Amino acid sequence: MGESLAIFVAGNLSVFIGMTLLYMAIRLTTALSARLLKKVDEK
Amino acid sequence: MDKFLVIVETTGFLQVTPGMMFMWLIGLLLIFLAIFKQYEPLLLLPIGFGILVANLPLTDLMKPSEGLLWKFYEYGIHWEIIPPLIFLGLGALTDFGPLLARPGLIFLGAGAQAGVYITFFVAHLFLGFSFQEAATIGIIGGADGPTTIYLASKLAPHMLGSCAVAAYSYMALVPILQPPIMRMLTTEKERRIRMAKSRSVGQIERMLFPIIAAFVIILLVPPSASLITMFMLGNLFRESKVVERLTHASQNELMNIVTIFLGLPIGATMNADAFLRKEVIYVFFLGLFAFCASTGTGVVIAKIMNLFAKNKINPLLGAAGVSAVPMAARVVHKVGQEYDKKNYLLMLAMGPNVSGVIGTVIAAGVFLTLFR
Repeated sequence: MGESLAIFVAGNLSVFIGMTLLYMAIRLTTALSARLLKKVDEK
Repeated sequence: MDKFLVIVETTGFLQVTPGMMFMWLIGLLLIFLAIFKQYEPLLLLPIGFGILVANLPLTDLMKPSEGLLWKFYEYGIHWEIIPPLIFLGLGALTDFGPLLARPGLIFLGAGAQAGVYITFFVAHLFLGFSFQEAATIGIIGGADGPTTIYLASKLAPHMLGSCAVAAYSYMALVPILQPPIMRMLTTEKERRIRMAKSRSVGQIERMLFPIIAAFVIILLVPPSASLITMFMLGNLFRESKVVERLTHASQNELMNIVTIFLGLPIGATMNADAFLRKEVIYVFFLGLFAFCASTGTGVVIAKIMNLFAKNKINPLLGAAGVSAVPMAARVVHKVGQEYDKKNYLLMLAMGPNVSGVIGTVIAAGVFLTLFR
């Protein structure tokens, strides 16, 4: 019981951490692309 | 006369067992569903045929080191070749635009994975499956065929056939299984929520995403590297727009070829001895439970997000958090339109739908980390 419950919690937590990191990666992607576009426009 | 008797004895007719005949019926049922009901025909047709031929006596098709289908299985699936190649094609077919436009919806893809872990928990604790077997059954809830096959081949190869058939059967039944759960967990008012149109996503953003996402996911869950590498490479092919030939080949020729070599050996793993056991019936019930639980948890997470969100999310979108691309997104759109004809949810639902694919791969990677 204890071990499977620990895996249940750890598994869900890992997926949410992964998705949070991916969310941040998307934000980073958006910011980077905006900056790149701005530089291209300036040139 | 003696010679004739020897010939008769070497034919398969005298070696047929009732178990084999039962498996023929299952193979024929899958072929029937594929041809006449169009249930995932690309996979269920070769799987059904694989079941038929593998259950003919004296063929040795699955004899280790010698049988043709054994070679397909060993070098295609066991050596981790075919599922990653399928992911290359999937990446080339996937449009991350809706997700990039609304990154917050990524959490719906995460929420739907809770069903995977709930099923894992139930299968292990209440039905006595080992950790490896319970993980393989749980991942059916992710509704992602290649990931289910990949995980099963690593953790519980003896369950590969039943888990693959369960996963693809329930994916074909998305339009029947999901709507009642979506209606049960939402109010009519919630189903009518309209969301603002998504912004357009630039080319550079689309190109950067697969590179950055591959880094993040592989660093977080290294065992998912095989699938994520190919998935993001396929997507980079697509978004870079400089390798049209490779994109086209990944989406079409390669995908079609590997699909043939995937379905046939999976069907061939389902011989009467391995399949006709009570555990297989549990696998089908638990797979259904996993699928429903994932749909439900996706919707519930959307409702929880609404407690904190300024701009409300239509909770039906949560059901698209299971992978089943694009069927689950279409179902969300259709159910939404039953209550408001002018509510266009399809493109919005594609966001959680593709995040569900990534979420299932992460969930599989976590299982591999723990149990491999």
